[in-house]
Amino acid sequence: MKDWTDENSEMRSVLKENLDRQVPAEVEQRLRARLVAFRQQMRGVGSPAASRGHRVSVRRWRWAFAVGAAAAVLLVGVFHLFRQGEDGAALAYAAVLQQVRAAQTATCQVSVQVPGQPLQALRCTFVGPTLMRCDLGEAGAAIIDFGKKEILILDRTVKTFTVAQLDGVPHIDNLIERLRNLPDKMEYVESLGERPFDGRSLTGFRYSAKGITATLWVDPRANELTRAEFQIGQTTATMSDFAFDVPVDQSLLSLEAPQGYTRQETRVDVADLIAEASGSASPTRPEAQGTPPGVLKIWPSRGLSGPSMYSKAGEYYARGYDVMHMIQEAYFVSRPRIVLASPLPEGLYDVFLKMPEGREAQLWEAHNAGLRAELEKQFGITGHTEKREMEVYVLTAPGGRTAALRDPESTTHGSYCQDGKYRNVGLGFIEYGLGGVLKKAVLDETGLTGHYDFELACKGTSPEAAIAAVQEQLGLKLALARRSIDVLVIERAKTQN
Amino acid sequence: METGSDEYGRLIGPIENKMIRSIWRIVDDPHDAEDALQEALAAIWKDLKRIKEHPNPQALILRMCANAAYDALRRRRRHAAVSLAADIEDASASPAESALGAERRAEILEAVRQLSRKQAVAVMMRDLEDMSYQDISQTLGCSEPTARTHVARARTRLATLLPHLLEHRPKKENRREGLDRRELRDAFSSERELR
Repeated sequence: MKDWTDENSEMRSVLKENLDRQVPAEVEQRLRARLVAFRQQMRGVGSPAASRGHRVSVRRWRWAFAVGAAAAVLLVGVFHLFRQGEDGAALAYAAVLQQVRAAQTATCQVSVQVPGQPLQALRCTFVGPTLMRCDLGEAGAAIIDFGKKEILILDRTVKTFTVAQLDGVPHIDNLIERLRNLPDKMEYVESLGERPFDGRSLTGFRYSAKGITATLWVDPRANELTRAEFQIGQTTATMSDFAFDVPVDQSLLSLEAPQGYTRQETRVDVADLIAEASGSASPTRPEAQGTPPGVLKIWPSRGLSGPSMYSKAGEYYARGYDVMHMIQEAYFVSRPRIVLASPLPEGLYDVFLKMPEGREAQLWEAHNAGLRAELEKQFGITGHTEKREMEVYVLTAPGGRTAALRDPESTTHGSYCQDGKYRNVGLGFIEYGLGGVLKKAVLDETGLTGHYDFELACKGTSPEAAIAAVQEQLGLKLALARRSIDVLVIERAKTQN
Repeated sequence: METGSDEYGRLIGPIENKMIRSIWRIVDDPHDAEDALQEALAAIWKDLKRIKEHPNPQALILRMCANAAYDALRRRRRHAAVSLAADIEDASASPAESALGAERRAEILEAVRQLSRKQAVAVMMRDLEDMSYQDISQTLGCSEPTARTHVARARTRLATLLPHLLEHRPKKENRREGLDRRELRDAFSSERELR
């Protein structure tokens, strides 16, 4: 029988033989990464210098606001994030910073939601400290070289490009470069605890400063940055689907425009854009201050925003409208009912009208009349209505009125929103909501002459999707037929110098 | 004034390898090792002032690592330990050897789980890190004889829990070559303390 001393010594050997193992290289690497992050945390990196008042020249496109807003929101948001030179103990956060710092390339998905605008989804790519590319699917892309201080915007839909200068910028970094300079210390960061996202439990950290809230969601087990959310005013931007050190085709970050693209250029002020994205800017341009009440004015646009409109208390301000859009507003007619006898001027414009005191209620009448007058004065555009026979979608109600067509809750001016909410309108109004999808006029033959509140959301972009949506959501039927309908014929349109 | 970077270089830099190794040997699992190190670093950050004032700060840091690893080990279920450990087995070993080694390690670690925290940390520091009893006592905040007691009791308890591992070992005479004089002295010292 062994005595306890033998067992005692022997057990030491047992432990040593079985547990004294080399740490696998992969494990050691991961643990060392944590130590490196901790070292960075102890070191406490300072924040970079501020940079503001950048000017950039860019061309407007319908989608360009999303690119610009994303850049602006993130520049501002991350800028504020970087300003927080605080201490903290969130090691996962520190590890994430280390990962960002070590990465040579990075990609992420960016979703930008501006009030009144559809949600825009961008794919952003960062290479090294100076190159950034934002892609908006088939619409186009923007490439920024922060080293050369140049931006190239490609519009694939009309094959045009703009190369613009980031003029007079004392100090500007791309987002990843700024992330690399993020301080490790985060004493003033609010810990949000854990929350499930897509089956993963993520740890949140929130920074709030000067009206901007930045929220990071980190996977503490994998030490991965999973989401970054920015809230600036009413604008939100969400970065997700991060990938670091992925192979990137360098040609995609060239400032040389692809063959077959033609050049265009306009000048705008990024400071305005940032203010606009943050909701801190006045919606109107400075020139509007000197406009007499009751007089409608049109100016060439200088911002990045795609068509947007503000209206309050007898004041109307629209931005980023092309001439076709203004014609539709002035004559209150949908695009399929407009026949062009000659081409329209190009470009995007801002429209402003402020009603005199006591006449605020006549805003829309004054707007329509003023816009028609200004279209004629500035662009030589006049129009007349005539009957023409053409193929249209005929709207019928085989089952009569359905429950989806509710009595209006309000008797105020009828309205339609892009999110598919129709309020206090006749059924022919769906022509305005679905005209872009159907590409043809809609003739209301339902016999339902009242005004209704209803929701109609078309998820697809094909006429079939719209027809199906009307059938399923309203219980109504759309069918092609030839009819003689009223159309607006635009004449004598002259191109602006 | 010492900067954060200097502090790291003084306190942690020289023992980085020991920290990684001590955690790995106790938990024997990649995910648990990361969790344990994370927890240890969080504890270090929280107690940085106390660590800097400690007479043996590095021993204290290693204790924090061992504590975190022990906690991770206690949290883990036994079957998970076996499967995860087998995932990262030494590539040079045969599949059969790997499976056997992983199973044995899991068994030993399961026994370690049943020790008290101080006993587990003490025996790991002594037998795997080859720390002196003086360092162990400073780390655990106890006297040197008490540290010896912890180690001895831990070994005895493990021997009770793992008798078959001792029985299958070669005969004592052949193994004595592997034990140094200090080890023998320690063993006898422990015996005296127990009595």
